[in-house]
Amino acid sequence: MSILRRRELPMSLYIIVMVYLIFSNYTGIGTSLAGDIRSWGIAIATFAGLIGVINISYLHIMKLYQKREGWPYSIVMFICFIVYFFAAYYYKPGYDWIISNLSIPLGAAFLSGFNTLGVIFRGSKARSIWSGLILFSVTVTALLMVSLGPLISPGILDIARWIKDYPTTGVFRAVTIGIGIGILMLVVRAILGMEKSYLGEM
Amino acid sequence: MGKKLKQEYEDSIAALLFILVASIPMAIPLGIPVEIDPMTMTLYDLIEEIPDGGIVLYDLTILNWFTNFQSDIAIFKQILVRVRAGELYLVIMTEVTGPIMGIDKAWDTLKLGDLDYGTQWVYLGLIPGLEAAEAAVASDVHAAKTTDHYGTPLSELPLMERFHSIDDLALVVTGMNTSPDPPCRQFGGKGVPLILQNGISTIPLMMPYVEAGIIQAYMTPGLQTAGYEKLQGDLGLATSFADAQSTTVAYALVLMLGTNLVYHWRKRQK
Amino acid sequence: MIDWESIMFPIITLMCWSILYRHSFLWEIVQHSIVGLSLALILKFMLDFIMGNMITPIFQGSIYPAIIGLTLGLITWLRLAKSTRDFSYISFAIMTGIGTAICAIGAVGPQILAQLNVASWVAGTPVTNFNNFIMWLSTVGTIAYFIFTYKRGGLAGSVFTGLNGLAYIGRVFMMLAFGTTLGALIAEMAIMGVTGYAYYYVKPPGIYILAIGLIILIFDISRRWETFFYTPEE
Repeated sequence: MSILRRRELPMSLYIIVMVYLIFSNYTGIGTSLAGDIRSWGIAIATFAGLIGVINISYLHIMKLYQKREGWPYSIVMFICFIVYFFAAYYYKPGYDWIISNLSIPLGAAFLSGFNTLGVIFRGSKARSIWSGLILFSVTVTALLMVSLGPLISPGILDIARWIKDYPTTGVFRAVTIGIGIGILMLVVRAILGMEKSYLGEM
Repeated sequence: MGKKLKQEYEDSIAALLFILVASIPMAIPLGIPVEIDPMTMTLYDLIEEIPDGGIVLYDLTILNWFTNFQSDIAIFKQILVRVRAGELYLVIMTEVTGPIMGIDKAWDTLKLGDLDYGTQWVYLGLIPGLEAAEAAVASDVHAAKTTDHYGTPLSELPLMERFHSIDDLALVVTGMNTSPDPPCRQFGGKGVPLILQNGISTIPLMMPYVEAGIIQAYMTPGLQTAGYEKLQGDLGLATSFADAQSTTVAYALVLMLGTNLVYHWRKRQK
Repeated sequence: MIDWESIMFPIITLMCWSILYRHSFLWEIVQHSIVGLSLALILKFMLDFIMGNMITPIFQGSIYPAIIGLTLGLITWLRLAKSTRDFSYISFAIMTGIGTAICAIGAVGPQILAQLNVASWVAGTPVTNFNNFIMWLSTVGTIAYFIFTYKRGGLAGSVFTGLNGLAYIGRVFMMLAFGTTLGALIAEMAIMGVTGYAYYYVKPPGIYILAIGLIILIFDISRRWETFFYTPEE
């Protein structure tokens, strides 16, 4: 059993699977097995997602058991969990009600953009010509994205459109190329055995 | 020295003003005209010009009900007009659990129950794995998922006899609110048009792909969706929010410029 | 027929937004509720996926490839115990290998080769040529900024002085690009969530719920007025 614990085994599997999929894609050989391997990735992702469910449930059970600070709220969590889970299988009207009137408003309310406000009025001081350039770009772009923009000045919107279509595209093209090259470097690092982050090592 | 307001309460006041500024136009519409963006026309024409008999794959990866999902609903409405006319076929998949709730909530709005399931449209449901799911669907959808959202084997659905990989598709639409890299990597550059429904802040990230012809068109929530609803002649929530979006952006810009004025004035005083 | 949506949306929104004022039991309730609901949803759909795509095919006789996917998936759960954690790396390594391969295959075309096409600087109108040149310059300048920013002085500094200049130009374009991103983010923030709830607050019963919320807020502010201020140190 000790060979299954050695890190060389997962490293080898990582490299073999990766190289096989890349080889299969570019040669067309073994595409059936490549398709099966991709479906195993989906299976592993499914079970890995359930690990999160198990971990959070365990944390809250221990919080309840040890009566740590805020333990009554863990009861709220478990009530919501159990009611929603059983409604999903056994009581469709209840499930639909929870989706429309609890899940969707909760999900949307948590995404309110108030955190950006702090950035705006604390972090946007133009201390130099560079930050002044950013602020100019911020202002014209924000006006471009709303219906108020054309009422203020069509000329400003032309400038904003030009900045979006040419300099911004060029800069993010460079970023995209960098990301693509970074991914290829990851493949090279993996083949050389230098990539071990999935083993929990830096 | 006098007392000062604590910083966290300064943030609270700014947030309260933000809510007020957003709420007032909802009660008293300003009626600011909505212009139709050229990218919206491109997207509209792209969907209208899909050849008859084409299969559209709609990949949902996010549920932001009031923003991104309203854009998804608007795109669905245009596609479903052609589906009902028997010109197009629709396959919906999701990569996370959130959009499943969105589809349930939008069911009546989109009148999905009126369609012939299995022939006109198929709901694949959740395929976990994010980019791995996209790659699996693009190469072999029957290996990625053997049943639809309701547990029916794909082999029993007539539409799925024609859809095996991305080569069988006429259009791919991905609804998301994050980096466009994954769908561009998996669905882009394969000879099938790709439309992205994505957040406004991702426009700079999408522009290189638009320029390179990987993304044929994109839709963003807010003003662009309001213009899209105007183009379709079916005004929805996005149109209601256009005025409020203008006033909140104006508030944010006034806040920003005001902060700079105060900062530089105080600097001069010293 | 009760319109639950018009009642629940404002109530839940106010409970979420109570964190903007101060930490309270209302915030804790919604926070734990969304965790519970999300966990239930994930568990339901993941179990349905496992049943429909792995267990049912196995029982119907289609053992391969479902059995391998199921086995590798179950191996990931060995992570939950310290003594068996090392075995789970087998599954995670395979999943990471699949992910890396998928990204690498997809990156070559759309992210690298497609981005290297340069539009002509001479073929079109003067404005088009200028714009294409600007796009090229901003791309090259950004790459130069990240790779070729050298300290002045020394052999590398003197050899790459030209590239340092290009990096400076890249910096200008990057400031414009990041400003565009922040401007787009402000436009997105403007619509994210707040406008949706404003839709419910401006009509009954949301407007009554908002009024009750404001009364409670004013009462709490007046009760805790002194705690909002501090005396700065000299």
